[in-house]
Amino acid sequence: MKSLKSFALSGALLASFASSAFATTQFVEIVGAPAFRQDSNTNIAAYVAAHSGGLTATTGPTSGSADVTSASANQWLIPGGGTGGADLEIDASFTGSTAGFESVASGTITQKFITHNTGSIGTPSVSVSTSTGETAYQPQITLSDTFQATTPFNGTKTFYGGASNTLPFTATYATLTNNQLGIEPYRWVASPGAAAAGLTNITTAQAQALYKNGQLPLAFFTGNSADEGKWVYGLSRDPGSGARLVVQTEIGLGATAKLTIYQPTITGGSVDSSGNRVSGTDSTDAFDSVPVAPAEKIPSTGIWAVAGNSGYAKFGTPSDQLGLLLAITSTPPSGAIFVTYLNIADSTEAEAAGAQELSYNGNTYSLAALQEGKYSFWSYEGLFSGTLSAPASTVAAALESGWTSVAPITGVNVSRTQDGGIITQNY
Amino acid sequence: METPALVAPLLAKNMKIKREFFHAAVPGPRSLFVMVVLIFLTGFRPVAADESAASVSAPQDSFNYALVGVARFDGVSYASLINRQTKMRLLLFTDKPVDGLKLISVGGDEATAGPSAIIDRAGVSIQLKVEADPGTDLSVPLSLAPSAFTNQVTRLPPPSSVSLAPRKPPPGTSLPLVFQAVDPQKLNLSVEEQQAINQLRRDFLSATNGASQGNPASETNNSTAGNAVAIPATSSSTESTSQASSPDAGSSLATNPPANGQGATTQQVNAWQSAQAQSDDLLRTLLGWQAFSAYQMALAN
Repeated sequence: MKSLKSFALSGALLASFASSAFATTQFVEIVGAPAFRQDSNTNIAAYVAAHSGGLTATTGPTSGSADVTSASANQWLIPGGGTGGADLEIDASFTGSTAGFESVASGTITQKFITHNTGSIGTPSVSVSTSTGETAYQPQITLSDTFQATTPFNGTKTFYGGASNTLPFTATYATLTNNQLGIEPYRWVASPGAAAAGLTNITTAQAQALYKNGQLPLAFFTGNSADEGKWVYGLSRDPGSGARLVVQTEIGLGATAKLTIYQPTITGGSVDSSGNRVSGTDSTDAFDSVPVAPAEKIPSTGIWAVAGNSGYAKFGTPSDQLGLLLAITSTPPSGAIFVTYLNIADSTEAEAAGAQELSYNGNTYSLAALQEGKYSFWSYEGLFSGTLSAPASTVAAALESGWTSVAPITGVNVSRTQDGGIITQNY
Repeated sequence: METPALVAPLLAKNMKIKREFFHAAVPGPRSLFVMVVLIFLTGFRPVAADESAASVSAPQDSFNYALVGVARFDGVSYASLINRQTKMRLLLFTDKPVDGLKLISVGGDEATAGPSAIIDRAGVSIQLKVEADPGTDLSVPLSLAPSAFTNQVTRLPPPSSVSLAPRKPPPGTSLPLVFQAVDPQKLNLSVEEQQAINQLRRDFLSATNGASQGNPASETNNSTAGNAVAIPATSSSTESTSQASSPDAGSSLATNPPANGQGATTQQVNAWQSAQAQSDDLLRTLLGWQAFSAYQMALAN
């Protein structure tokens, strides 16, 4: 019996040794834009499936395809998929396009991902908490919906971070290689009841005034003097978002502009089928005194934003009251309407929860309208990185070559050279 | 319209002038770093005698900051301070209170009392003289850094100053807007906007390296390059910018003899025009339509 125990112990030690010596795992960390996450998750999942791998963890409510596609973070494993036969874990976290540039171009600034080696293929961990189940890692690739030059993160720059706006730090950001993948369209959406109040369209000039001032009388949109005492408030993601830069440039405020963003006090709501809280109520704020977004250190960038120039850190959250999706799908105070911008999948989710799409300069989004230049609210999706080595280079090359998008570049007959830049025909 | 001084060439050529442009005690590596950061942020013009000195008190023992550098640029004064205990740095701008401190003015020169700054704290004005940099870590302590930044602080390479001045534009082309002489005071540019403009200048130089007639405009003290600012050399910028300002810069062109008879090849002209259009478009993207128009108006005026 004693010898049997010794044998078993030896076996365990051997297994442990073998595990530590040979079962190494390589990691590819991909950060990116929440507005770009559906396309990104779809393409990464397809790559993993093609290499006999599978999902091991997700922040989504289930491991179903739809939830993984819209999840803010996922983790996949390809056994033997790394160099030299090592296992390959791919981590994707969509914290913000601008923040992605900051991290990858600096080479030293981390982002939060699902902690390595969470879950396993076949029994993936779901609903991984963004507060307790994530760890900071250095990303090698960013999947972004804006050009790097539009962001502040190129060259050597000084910012303020830390616990207040008094702590400067300086970092140098390399120029990343841009591999364009597709087009990311956006739509304007407004609170439930906006159409009934007469708000069905937003022009470039209105959007510019709205996000510069933060609020505008509803009469600006309806032309009805009876609406002079009602208010429209602009909501937005925080400055870690690339989509926010796209909006700033699209409406002519400029990428360096400071916005005035509001953040209503929302209570209640329920979790929708995608795991995001929607359809609450703002019964706290007066219609004419909705609070501005508070001064804070932006979570994804670590850079300080003054009051009004911050915004929502996340598109959607399952548990708390601070998701942009919840705010835009909630019932505002009587006499107030909220307006924001979302990508197509997210605006569809918002509309399912009561938000209402606005036309833009009189044009309703359609792929055909975008492809011919009639609809201008879009940006390029791109895979950005520095010089990569395997396995990251292998993954990047495969994603670039096999990428599918809701709006492929090949079908678009117009182009622009800058975010929000002039659109010209390609023919 | 005032023509801003070309800073970097002066820095390189005349130490005395350099010290008039920037005052930092003991110009060792750390002081130079402060200098470079301030130069990068601002660009400079000489710090003349303080024109706004009010009644001031002597430095207070309880005042916990050491002044390690001062500068003025386009009417804005800057003072770099170090907390003697935490070793944290503060960069004060005129009229922008930070941690209860407000920079009133900077001034002095080495022929008299030396560089100094007047700082207001709780209504009491304190005059500080530039001291030797106490030798802090140049980066943000990790313990105080944003929590998401486990390794975020990048140590800059050994500082050196280079000129961001373009060469003469090839015939038939023009300088990008960011290199044309405008009065920044009229534009009321934010720090973010100024940093963006500096980056556009550097990007243009990188894109047009060798795409002109050879003589850097800075060498001719051409006023159109008057907004040139000095920046810290980085791994990504050193090559292009140092070539642009190097006395040997023209030698690279010798290997590409002009093909159009006017001093530049067609390829060089095309590269310049493309980079100039890209720069102007991006300036519009970064500043926004209104500020871009103001920039153009300032140029026109």
